[in-house]
Amino acid sequence: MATVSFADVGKVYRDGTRALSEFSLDVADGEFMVFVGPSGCGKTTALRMVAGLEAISEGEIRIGNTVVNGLHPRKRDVAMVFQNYALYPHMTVYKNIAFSLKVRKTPPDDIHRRVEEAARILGLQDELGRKPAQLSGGQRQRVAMGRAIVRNPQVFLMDEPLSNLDAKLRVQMRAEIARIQHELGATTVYVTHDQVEAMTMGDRVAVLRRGRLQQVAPPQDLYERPANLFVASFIGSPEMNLVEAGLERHDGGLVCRVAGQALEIPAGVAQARPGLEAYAGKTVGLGIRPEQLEDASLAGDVPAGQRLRGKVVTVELLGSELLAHVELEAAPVTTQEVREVRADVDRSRVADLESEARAQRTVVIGRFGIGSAARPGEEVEMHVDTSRLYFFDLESEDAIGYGTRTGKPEEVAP
Amino acid sequence: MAAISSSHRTRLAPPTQRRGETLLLLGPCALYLVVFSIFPLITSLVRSFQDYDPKGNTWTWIGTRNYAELFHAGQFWTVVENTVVLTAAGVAIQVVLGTALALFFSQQLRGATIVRGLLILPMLLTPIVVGLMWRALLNPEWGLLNWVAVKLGFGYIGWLSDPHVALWTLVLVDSWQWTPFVFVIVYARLQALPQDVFEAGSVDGASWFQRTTYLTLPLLAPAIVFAAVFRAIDAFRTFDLVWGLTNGGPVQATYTLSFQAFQNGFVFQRYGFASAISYVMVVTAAVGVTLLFRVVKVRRVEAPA
Amino acid sequence: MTAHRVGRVVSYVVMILIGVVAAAPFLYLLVLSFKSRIDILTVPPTLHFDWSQIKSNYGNVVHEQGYITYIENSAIVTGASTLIALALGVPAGYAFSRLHFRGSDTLASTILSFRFMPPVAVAIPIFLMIRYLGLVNGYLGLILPYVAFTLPLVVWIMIGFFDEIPHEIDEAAMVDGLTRPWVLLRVLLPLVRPGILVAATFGVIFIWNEFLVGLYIVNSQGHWTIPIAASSLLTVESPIDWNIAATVGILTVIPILVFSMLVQRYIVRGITAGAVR
Repeated sequence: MATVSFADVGKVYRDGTRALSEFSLDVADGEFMVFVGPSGCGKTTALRMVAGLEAISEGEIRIGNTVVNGLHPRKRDVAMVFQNYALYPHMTVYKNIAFSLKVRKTPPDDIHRRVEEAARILGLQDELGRKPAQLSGGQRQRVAMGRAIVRNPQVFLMDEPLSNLDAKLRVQMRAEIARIQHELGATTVYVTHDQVEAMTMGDRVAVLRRGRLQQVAPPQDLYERPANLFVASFIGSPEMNLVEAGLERHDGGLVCRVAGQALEIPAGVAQARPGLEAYAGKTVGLGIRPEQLEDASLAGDVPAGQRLRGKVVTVELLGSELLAHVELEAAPVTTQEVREVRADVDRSRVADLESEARAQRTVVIGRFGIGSAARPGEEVEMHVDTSRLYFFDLESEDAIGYGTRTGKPEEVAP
Repeated sequence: MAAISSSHRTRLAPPTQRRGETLLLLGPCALYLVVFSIFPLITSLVRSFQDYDPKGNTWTWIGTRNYAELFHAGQFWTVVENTVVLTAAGVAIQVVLGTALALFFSQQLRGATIVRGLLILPMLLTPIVVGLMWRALLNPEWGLLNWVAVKLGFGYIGWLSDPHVALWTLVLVDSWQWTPFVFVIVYARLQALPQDVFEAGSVDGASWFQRTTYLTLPLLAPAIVFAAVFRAIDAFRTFDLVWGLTNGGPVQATYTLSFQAFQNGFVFQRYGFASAISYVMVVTAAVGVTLLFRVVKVRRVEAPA
Repeated sequence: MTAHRVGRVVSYVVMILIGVVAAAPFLYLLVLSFKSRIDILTVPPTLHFDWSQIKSNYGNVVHEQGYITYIENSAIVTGASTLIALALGVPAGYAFSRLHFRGSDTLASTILSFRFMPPVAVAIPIFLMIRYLGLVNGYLGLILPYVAFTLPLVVWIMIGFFDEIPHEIDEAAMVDGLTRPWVLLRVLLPLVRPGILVAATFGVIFIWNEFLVGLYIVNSQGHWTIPIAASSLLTVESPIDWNIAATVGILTVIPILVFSMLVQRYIVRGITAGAVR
């Protein structure tokens, strides 16, 4: 049984910096679990603690039924793929892959068979006699994987294995890794800071921020029901649009005032979010994903409560669709969590956010159909798919209606 | 998932850092040095407060009398002066010449590799033989240098016989032997400097002299300082060369601290007194070393992952 | 001729001069070692060599003065000391590079600082210690202190070379199933071979030329290493003939010169390892 469980795990360094707090999580046997988050969020630290490369300051980690705190890596039966591959430079590909078996005194025939098998799975048969320096980046990456596969360990650990590859190769390898993992049925913990990777590869995704687990859920759940502003803005590309809106009661229902306009909140939406009513009269964070915005002229008959008007700043023609950057006369959400996500991309983006806040104007992004005539400088009217709106408490930064502060696995009425 | 005992605190070191293994790797080395470096050093300190009687092979405690005698003897201060001159002048010459050589060799010259190889030569030679070589060269009767000096009209120079000149001869020979050391260090650093900085300087209109003064030298500074401090500490301890070139003469004009300690210890068998001299040197060297380690990062700073 | 051309010519002249200055004393001594006693006095020395004279000079030193013995002694002492210093110093360098525990930085600095200790400060106590142990006039009496002198340098150089290898290789090896000492032996040692050669080179050069401590410790002529032998034959007041003295000098340095020519790139690498970090 190869499960991995974290029980209230924490990590503090000698100089007092805290990398992980109260981290609790269970990885099921055969599950592909992805840890994702911005730099410094603790995901790599957590992974290395499973490997035995970092000391566990607090809590327990179990592999299967065994508590592994303090156990040397070689006793844990885990295999690891390192970010920079860590191949043995002076050994051939064959020897690199065979090394762990040799160390365990596996009979040479066995070694040969298993290395050949791993090479076959990864397409490395022709490279077995070469040394790492003679290989391309992609090939080295496969050797690193081969080294891990050949062991048949209880758990696979992967530390951003694709981050050093160029974009196209990364896309290919993503699919391959997912395929191999599925074929082998191996429990895997995979660390990345690329949320696209996380979403496409994981059975479940754990979002970390500053050493704390924000939310762990299957990718789709993360997308449709983010527990807080951090998860909401971290997951999804382009980012979710977040503006401040006033919640009001109107005509027996709820209405959102944003940019001087009113968006009707469908009854079903309000019901699915218990507690939303309590925010009537207050300002909340309103989240609208880009795909929920459409050029109204392309959307047929659009009722009044589903319109938003703004000025087009830029359009990006992507062949199959059009990304429209539209300026609304609304204040952006500038809470701590949102800032962090921005800063992770580049610190200059936080300054942009602040200038938007001062001007009380926000640029939102909408995925329009390619037929849209929206062009920079023009006014545009957008259709908002109000059945998929997100609401956030601006103080606690939690999603309204579900999710909690400490990001325990969400319990939501579907 | 219930949180089990949070009192389950493990040590701060990762499981890959085990005490037994650390001891196995470091232990022998540390132990060896304790026995053969630390213990002698401490013994030396203790002995410096004692007096040794060669006849009876006994040690008597005399407190700080050795040091008192040392500091009051005029000879000691002359010796200190000699050592300081040798160190300061030597290092200064070596640094300037070494850097100049490095800059010189930054040109592309055919055959430079051979000459650079020749430059290493002096550093490898046994100092005693270096002394011999130069004693030959500087021989007043048939040495080549005096022959040249006479031909050029300078007349005989008492390189090794004139007490006023002898110390500077020592400086000269020391510099001959160790300038290449500075050269190698500075040259390597020079080669490692990024070229685009100098290209930018050229484009900005700087002349060779300006580029060297404002760009090259400041960028070389860490290497130069490193070489200078390193050499200073080594020059301070010079003994072999003194033995081989002048044997302390003439009339003790080239006595350095090391030499004086040696004389008192080995020749006069005043081990206690010699230990006192040695200890003065140790303290001074310690100061120099602290300085060096401030300039050079001995260990990379560890950053938490 | 353009100014540029003139500059180039000057540069070549300067370069040749530099070469001459560097090599001249050695060459001068070499020439002297080929001369007979009387010829020494002619200046500048003629380059007319008499082969039988050369053979006589060198034969004298090698056979009558027992130089073969001294070279043997030097070789044994140098070889053994260097090997032991490496055996102790390479694991220590590895430990300092990879393992960080409370006080490890201080310990490393302390060990490295011994490199700068005035030998004279320990020469006397070490001499007394060796004498007490009855090891005077033996190889061990020289080897033991020489290892202590060389260790700090070996550790210093090895730390630098180990630092250049990414930690991740160690980690991969440990996840693959090795303990640290085995990681060093099986995985890292082949990778730091250049570093070991640099450390060995410096050890050899330093120990071969070592003189002060040896002078204290070794009394019997049969155990002299080359520098000690040379020094006793060449003391400033010695009445030895200059041509023989020159021969002694040349024979003293020839081994180390040959050695250095073989390993010269390691010499440069070693010196610069500290400065070009």
